[in-house]
Amino acid sequence: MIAEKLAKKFVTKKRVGLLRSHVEIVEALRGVSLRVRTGEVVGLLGPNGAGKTTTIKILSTLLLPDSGYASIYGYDVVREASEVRKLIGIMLTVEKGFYGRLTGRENLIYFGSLYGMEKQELEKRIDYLLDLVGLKELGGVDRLYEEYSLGMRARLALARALLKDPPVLLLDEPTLGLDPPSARRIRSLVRELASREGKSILYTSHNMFEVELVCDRVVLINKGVVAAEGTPEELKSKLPDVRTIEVYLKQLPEGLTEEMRKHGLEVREQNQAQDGLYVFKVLTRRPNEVVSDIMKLAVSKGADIVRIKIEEPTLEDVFVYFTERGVKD
Amino acid sequence: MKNPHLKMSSFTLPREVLKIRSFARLIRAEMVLVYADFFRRKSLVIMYLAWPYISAAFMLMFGYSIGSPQFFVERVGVEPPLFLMVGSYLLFSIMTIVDDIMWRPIFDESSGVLPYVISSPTNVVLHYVSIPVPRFTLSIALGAAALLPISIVYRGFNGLLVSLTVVALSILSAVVFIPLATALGLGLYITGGENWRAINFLRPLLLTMTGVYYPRWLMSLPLYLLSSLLPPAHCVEVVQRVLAGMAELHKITVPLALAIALSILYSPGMLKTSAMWEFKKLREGVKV
Repeated sequence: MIAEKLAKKFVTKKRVGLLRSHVEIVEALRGVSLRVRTGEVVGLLGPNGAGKTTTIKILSTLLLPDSGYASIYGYDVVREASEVRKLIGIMLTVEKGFYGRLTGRENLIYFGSLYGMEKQELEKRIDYLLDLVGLKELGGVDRLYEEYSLGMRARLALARALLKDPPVLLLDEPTLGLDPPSARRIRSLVRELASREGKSILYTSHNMFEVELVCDRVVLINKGVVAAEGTPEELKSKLPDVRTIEVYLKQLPEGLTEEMRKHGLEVREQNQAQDGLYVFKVLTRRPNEVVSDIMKLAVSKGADIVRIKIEEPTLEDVFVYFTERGVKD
Repeated sequence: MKNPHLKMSSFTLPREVLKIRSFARLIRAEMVLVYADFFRRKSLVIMYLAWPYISAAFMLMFGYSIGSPQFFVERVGVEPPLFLMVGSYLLFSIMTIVDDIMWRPIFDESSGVLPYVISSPTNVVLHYVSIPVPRFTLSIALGAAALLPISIVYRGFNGLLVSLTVVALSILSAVVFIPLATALGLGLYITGGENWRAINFLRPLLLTMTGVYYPRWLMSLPLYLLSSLLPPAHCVEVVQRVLAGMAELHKITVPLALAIALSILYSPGMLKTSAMWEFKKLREGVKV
């Protein structure tokens, strides 16, 4: 799956008074490029309004770009949309997208028929998928969709995306609002589908923990442009080398933090921890050297150090850093 | 600058339309949708079966309060209960099918199904043509419930033949209405957005013009010419002529030929509006 310099503007008319209207142009995408290889899960991250859903819609042939090019298995998503549609499975929302008066199975029969599947093949596939996503064990097979919980709806949506066994999946926030067991089930399925079945998956989420767990690579977009991309580890390494050292003490000797500041240490957030310990944080670019400085100073002041923790940057730090910066590294 | 990719080629009717199997699959899908919903809602079944009776009864009460049944028979040539029952049945059969087509884009969009329909490999036109097919079988059931008893009461054994003829012509009315209904419905959505109010305005106008409650041959010339533009109006005229015993061969074949010809004439409009509607959706982005 390739996207090159995708751009899209939305023009909306807002009525001002009785006869006048005001035209508003929103630049949703300003040249987004990304690539998803076979068997790879790529996370598409970004704040609200960054252009994630617009990108997914273009790739799933539901929106025409103003410029740029996107293809799936070599088929242009604009010129060869009908071919692309045979190759993709999409999950755009969790809470709706099915007919409420049909059961889960009937809904899948409906969409399978729309996807051109033969009856026998379809029934076998539906049985397999309902089992795979765990709807059989939840008793959701012959229950009306309108009676489904959010978790069951998400599972059914994933089953639909997999109905025709497509090599490419486009999943837009597939675990949004789900309870932990359902979210975990979806995550593990996505991982399995990529590693065992070699599916290419584009996955958007706001949950950084989830993205780190599921995705091989991450593309971070902000204000319609790619702000950063790489594996989670690569992205973390792009952060300025600032680490936070948390120091936990039994009691805080008078003048200790002032002494540390005199020695050039950047001390922050001095307070009492929940377990009765005193804690303060030190920001540094040289964590190993600074830890020994802290220990020497604390011992000289008679402090009793309980533990010292060096915090590694998280994907959330990466997200915040790049979205605040807003420029590609 | 215009996007070089924006060509209409991918939105034109593909060869797949002519493939019976892909059409059969779509009909299967629509059967699942219509029947599952229909048989799970007892109130819907009751309403469906009772509607022609209620509507005909209301018209009869209104008619008897302002005029004489004898005058109606002299002028129209059919007993009022039979005429109005047939009219109500025709109206309901055509209306459910037209509604299915016209409301579907709005319903699919509000239920979040539309992105999955559009992103399926199925052609939009083929999909819209398949939507009313399951209703035809329901029309037959409704014909048995609404038409058969009253036709037998008034026409004896011939009533059975009359009922079969009316059911067959009601299905034909709906079929020939599909291109125009699709073109008008999608055309409205293209120009005015997905607006159910516009459909609510258009629907009764179309159905009144078909002449189900008023014999077409008694219409004033301007109204007759206007209603002649609607393909089902010609089928309705044939039904009324059959009931009135005015069914000479040329008075049946000519209107039926006209209905089919008009339907064919409107088909390019249906294809064009379908393509334009899909193009508009894709340009704005299909709502999720």
